[in-house]
Amino acid sequence: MSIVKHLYLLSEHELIKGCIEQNPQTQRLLFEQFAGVFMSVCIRYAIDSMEAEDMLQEGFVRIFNHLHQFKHEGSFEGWMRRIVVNVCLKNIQKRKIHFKELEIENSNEPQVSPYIYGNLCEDDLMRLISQLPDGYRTVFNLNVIEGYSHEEIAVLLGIEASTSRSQLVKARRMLQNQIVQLEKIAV
Amino acid sequence: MKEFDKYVKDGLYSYKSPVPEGLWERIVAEKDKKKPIPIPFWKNGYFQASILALVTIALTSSSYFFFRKENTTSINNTTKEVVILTNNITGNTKESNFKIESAETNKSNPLSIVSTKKAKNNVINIETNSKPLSVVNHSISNTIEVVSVSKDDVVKDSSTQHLNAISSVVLNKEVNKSEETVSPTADEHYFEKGNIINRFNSELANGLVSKTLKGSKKTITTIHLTDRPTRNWYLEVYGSPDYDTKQVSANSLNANYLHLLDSTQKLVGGFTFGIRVSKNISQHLSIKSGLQFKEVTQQFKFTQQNVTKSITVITNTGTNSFIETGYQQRTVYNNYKSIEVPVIVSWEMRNSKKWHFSTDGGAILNLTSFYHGMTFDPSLNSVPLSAKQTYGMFRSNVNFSVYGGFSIQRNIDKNFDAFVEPYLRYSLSDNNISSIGYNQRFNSLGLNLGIRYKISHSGNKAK
Repeated sequence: MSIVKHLYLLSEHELIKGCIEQNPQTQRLLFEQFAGVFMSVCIRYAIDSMEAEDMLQEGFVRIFNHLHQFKHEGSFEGWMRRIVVNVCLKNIQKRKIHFKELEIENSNEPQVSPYIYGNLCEDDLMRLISQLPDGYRTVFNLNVIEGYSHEEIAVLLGIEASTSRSQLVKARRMLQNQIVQLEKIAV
Repeated sequence: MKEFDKYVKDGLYSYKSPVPEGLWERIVAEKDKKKPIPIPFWKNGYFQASILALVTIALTSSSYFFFRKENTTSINNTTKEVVILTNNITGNTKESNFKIESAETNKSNPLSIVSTKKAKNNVINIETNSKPLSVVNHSISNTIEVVSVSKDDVVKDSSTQHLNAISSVVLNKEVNKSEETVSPTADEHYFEKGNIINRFNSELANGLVSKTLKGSKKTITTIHLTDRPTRNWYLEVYGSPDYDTKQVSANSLNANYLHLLDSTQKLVGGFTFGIRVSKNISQHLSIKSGLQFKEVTQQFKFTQQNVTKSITVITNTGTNSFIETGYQQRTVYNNYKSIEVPVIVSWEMRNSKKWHFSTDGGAILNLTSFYHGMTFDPSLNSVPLSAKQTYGMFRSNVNFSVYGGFSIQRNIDKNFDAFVEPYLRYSLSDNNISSIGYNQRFNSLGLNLGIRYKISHSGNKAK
């Protein structure tokens, strides 16, 4: 336990160095620091928790194997996160997502009062996102949460940028509808 | 909308989900199984470039010393006496003073120089008491080795090679009055009509006029000197079957993407052809440049998903059409084409009248590259292989290679040489953009086969 406490005092540079040198304790520390965040990333892309676990496992293996390529340019967490997202996308590609154009009954964007947000916890949001269709969910995650542009998403997913835009609009609308419905039920 | 996005991002970007038990142990097991394969040192780019440079230098220097030594040995074997004359040119005047700098005597058959006379316009007459003289070397520094030769000696290739190297000896067509009484001897016939004349290039070989004085054993050898080195222009047309290798390395995240490309794509050959102009800038050094086309062919075997096929079924009740969706195994041959400008410096060693050897080194500058075929994009979809269509995955105009080779030329006519030139070109830049996750470049081992045509000759004009 004392070792772990000591390791928590390591700087990011020392953490990276230790992992490159294959120090098991440092690698374990890195895992413990970031596994929770990356697990939630994987859950948002995966269809179930089993797939999310596999994604996270592969993501960490890749991080450890390619850590020597990190050039200390930009955020270290961002670099690792991109690896994890790429692993998720690779798994999604295996599932061969079709970006379907779903018909939504209410085509107007619902007005969501800001106060509703306060009633939603992160778990609710995670659950609502996981209920989105694969294509919507992937584009929504990449654009809204990870911050990729539609052009970048187009390259990553092999689709047109316009498809990405329309998927996002529909994902957002569907999500907001679900939030409104959830609020109605709560009331 | 932005408010909603911000709310979701703030809530979920750093949100932590519970990590399942035992995941770390699984990662450790997987990590140990998938240790990165270290790149062998012989596949390292810097190592390959160093080897190329070393081989070129070693080949150049060894060839130089090899041929130089061979010539010296040969001369020594055939030389009765060696006289080195130095031409001292002062200022802008054409006055030349020749002096004997060193002499080497074979006592069994001595050659005594009776006199060396300087005539007009850098003409030197060397009078000896025995056989005619042959000029065997002349460098830009105007140092001349004069070797007495016998008939048997001269026909040897080593001597002819030296005579070919004479860049400043031209024929003295005017015969002095004193020489009018001179009648050709067997030796003179030999020099004018015999093997030497036939074997040597035009005026270079004719630069030597030897007369044996009538009723005397003395021989006067006349040579003309100029100070300018040879300036020859050549046109070379060549083509090469190439053995191409692909050098690929992952630069960021896409090891699986790289693995997929590696397992589905294979180089199956290539070729180069071009035309270039060569110019001698000194006795041994020449520079070559021109235009060439290079193509690398790559086999791409992949599975195309979601291929649809329309099936029409005719039954008793009518005709039904079905759309069947499946996958298709495809083999596509990709072409990577480039138009390039080679800039090559060549160090030429002439071993004989017929055979020339040179080492070449330089750069190949890419003007433009274009592609045809298919590949996987980073999201593992099969897409057309094109600089424009595949999201700019490939570069269209930034390839740069170093070039090293060894050329063997054979004279087949007065103005034509055939040449064979094994070469290695090593690319210093990638032909794709790095942001797609890997770096790719092509290196080539080729064998240029070509014809060299002598366009013009300047510098030494026959007088």
